Amino acid sequence: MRTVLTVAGVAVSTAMLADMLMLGGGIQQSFGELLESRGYELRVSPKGTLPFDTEATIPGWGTLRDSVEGVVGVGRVAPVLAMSVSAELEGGEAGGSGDVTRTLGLGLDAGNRSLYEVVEGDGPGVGEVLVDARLAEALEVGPGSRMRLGIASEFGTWGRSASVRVSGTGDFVFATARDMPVAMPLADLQALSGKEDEVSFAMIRVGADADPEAVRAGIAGVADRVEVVTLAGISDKLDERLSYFRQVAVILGSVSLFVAALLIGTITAVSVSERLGVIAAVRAIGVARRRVVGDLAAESVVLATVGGGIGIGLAVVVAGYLETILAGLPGLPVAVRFFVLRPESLATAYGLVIVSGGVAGLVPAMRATGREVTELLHREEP
Amino acid sequence: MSIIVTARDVTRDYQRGRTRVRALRGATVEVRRGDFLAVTGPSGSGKSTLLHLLGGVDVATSGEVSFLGEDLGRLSVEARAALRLREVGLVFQRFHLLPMLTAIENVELPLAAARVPRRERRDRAAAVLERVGLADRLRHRPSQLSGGQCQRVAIARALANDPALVLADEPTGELDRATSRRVLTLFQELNASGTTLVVATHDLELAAGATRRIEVVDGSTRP
Amino acid sequence: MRLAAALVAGLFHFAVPVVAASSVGGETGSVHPDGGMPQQGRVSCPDDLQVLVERPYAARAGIEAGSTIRLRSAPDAEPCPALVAGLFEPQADPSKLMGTRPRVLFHLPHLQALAGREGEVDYFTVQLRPGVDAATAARDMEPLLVGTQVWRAADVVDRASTTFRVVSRFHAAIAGITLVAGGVFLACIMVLKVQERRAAVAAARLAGIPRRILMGWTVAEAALLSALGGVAGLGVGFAASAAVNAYYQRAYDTALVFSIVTGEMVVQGFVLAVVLGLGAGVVAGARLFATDPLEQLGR
Repeated sequence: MRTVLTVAGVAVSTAMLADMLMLGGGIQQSFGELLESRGYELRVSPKGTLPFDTEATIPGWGTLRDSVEGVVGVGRVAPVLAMSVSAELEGGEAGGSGDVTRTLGLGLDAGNRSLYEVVEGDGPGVGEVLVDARLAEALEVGPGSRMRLGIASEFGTWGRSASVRVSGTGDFVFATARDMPVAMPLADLQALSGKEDEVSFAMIRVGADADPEAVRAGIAGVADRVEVVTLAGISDKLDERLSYFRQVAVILGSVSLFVAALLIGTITAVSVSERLGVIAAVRAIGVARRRVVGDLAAESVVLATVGGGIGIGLAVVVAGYLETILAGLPGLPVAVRFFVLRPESLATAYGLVIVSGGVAGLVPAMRATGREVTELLHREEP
Repeated sequence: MSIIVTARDVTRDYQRGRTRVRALRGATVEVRRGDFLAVTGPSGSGKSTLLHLLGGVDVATSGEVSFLGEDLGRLSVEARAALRLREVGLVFQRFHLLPMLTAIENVELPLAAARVPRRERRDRAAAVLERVGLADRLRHRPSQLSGGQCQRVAIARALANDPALVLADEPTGELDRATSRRVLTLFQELNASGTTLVVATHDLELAAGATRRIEVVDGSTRP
Repeated sequence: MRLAAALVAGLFHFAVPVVAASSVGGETGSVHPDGGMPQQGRVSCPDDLQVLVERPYAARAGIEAGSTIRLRSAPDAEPCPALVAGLFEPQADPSKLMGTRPRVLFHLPHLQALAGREGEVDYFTVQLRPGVDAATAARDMEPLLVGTQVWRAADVVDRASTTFRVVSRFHAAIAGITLVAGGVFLACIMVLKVQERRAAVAAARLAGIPRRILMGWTVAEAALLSALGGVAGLGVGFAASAAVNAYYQRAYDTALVFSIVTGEMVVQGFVLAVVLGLGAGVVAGARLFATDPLEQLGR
């Protein structure tokens, strides 16, 4: 029973340790991979913000774009306007369903599909929108449906509205759990919102031989009222904001490791003290001390290995559960994961538990076998 | 007959808290090949200590213990362990078998420590268990065996490496009379086939069954 | 925005307009435009420019009340000398915790002049007359203020505290896992303890002491052990809480309290520890009494 309990305790501790290791570097890796997957090395956003951070916009985009494109090393420039929009299904003769959904509208240059993957249909042309697949399912729309889009606020819709055709559905890579975006041509959204010469941010692809950092400095030199950041810079800023989770991961990970070692050490110590007679006898027979120590430590390693193995499986389950909780954090893309299932995290947790278990077992084993054989025999023999 | 071990005028002191206890004071004994020596004496007289010194489990505070011509006091802890593994078989009152191992695995233990190849050690362990009458109990764990059977497994373990000397400390202390008699018979059979035995015991019947006897009183030996 | 402010001020009790230039931190308000980048007009240095500087930043930058600093609304703008009239302690606001830019408070016309945004504000807050429903007021207000968004203060607070609610749920989940680990550990220790003394318990059983009493002792011992552990754990909890607060308050230079050990938590933690102990005691005791006393004595 105690072996079962020890294995269970080690399993829970290992699961916690592995999860904390996953949490420690997971978000940065996950977010970094998400950013890199888009193929744009730089982001230009309003001063003091990150893309999708606020609803602030960059005014005078036309002029700024010319300046940016003039910078040596700049390849492609992809501006994005992000606005809260209201979407209403237009259907049948009644002229609409009446259900208005508030969502995020993304205005993109023609051909810029870097923020979404088309699931069904095609990308949006003039007078068209591509709808987030989750939203499309909720609204029961698909390619060919017609919707009425307006500019939305917390309390309703104001300003102009436009009837648009749904060109297709897609998965938006930076969409948050709350936002189920729609994408449309940049000019359409600018016209709808009245922000004719404004964008929320722009993505910059640097030339093949250009150094992103040099290009960043070049753009910052010609556009001092915007923030120009590299992917690493964005990732670092996000990491800075979420440093709390890293700190939690370090503390809880250390505590878990300590608990696992304490549990194995306690069990080994009790087990050794129960078997002092056998240990003395085996030593008296002539079995070398290192062999006895090795065998006792091996028992601890076996406990750690079995418990740790179960713990790794448990870690995956617990990580999934914790992920669903942290997915509720506002403003984070759904695609970003806090707990990234990295083999190195699992291997590190497993290795640490086995090593610490072995060391925790080694201490009582060394102590027991370091005592005089005759002393132990005197104690154990009446 | 050649001498296996001699102890000359040995003393052994132990520190018990702040008190220094002299367990042996000037004990002398000689064990020859083929002996079946019974060491008797009251509890706390120093019988076990003498056995430990003869087998190199412990070293004397003064005096000399020579095992097959080698001064045990000059050997390191590990060298004495290696010597015990090859040349000494130990039997304890409480058997001290490893509970998670079967009878044959317990007997294999000293063979494995002596790096005897797996197949050979299995054969030898089976043979020695057969010799002590446990051929049908090879796969049984200690918890599945009676006290007498456990002690026979322990004797088999002591014999596994074919040692020059078998030391038994109160081997019948935990056994009933009938089982004790069977152990004595086993010792006599082993001795008859050439095994040298030194047995520390309170059991007068066991002592009477030995070929030679010495008494330890207050740490000193008397023939 | 000036017209909008006037309209709102006429409708409601009063409105507090705020403007933020790019060189200073923004503020959260109730009414603000959709976009943030100011269109810079004519920049001028106001006469007698006086500002308040936030205390943590002032301490880092060596600024004191009476110091003269130079301010500009953009890197290429003309710097304006300003007298630091005083320092202010920033409000302990969790939503601004990660903000790294120092804040400076101006008289509104001074900042408007400095930023070249005469007559503009970024947002303003509105206090409603007693009995006016905020949601209704916001709905009524928004069509009047084209190009702005109206937020209820409650919604702003709700948005700002979402993060903390999620983090609290995360903590609760971690606490649950810790509880499982602690329970297993305790059960393990109790099983070991009863195994250590099985001979004594067997002897007591043979001597005729009722099983009920022995079981009671085992369970009571487990409960006592876990209660002691619980008290020690609460001590560690208080110390850890103090350390967490000390660390984060220092790291973010804020008076915010990050970790609170409430009376309810103390009671919950202690009760849970004792309940776990009782459970572990029952498990261990049941195991102990499942074996025959003679067998336990090795006979």
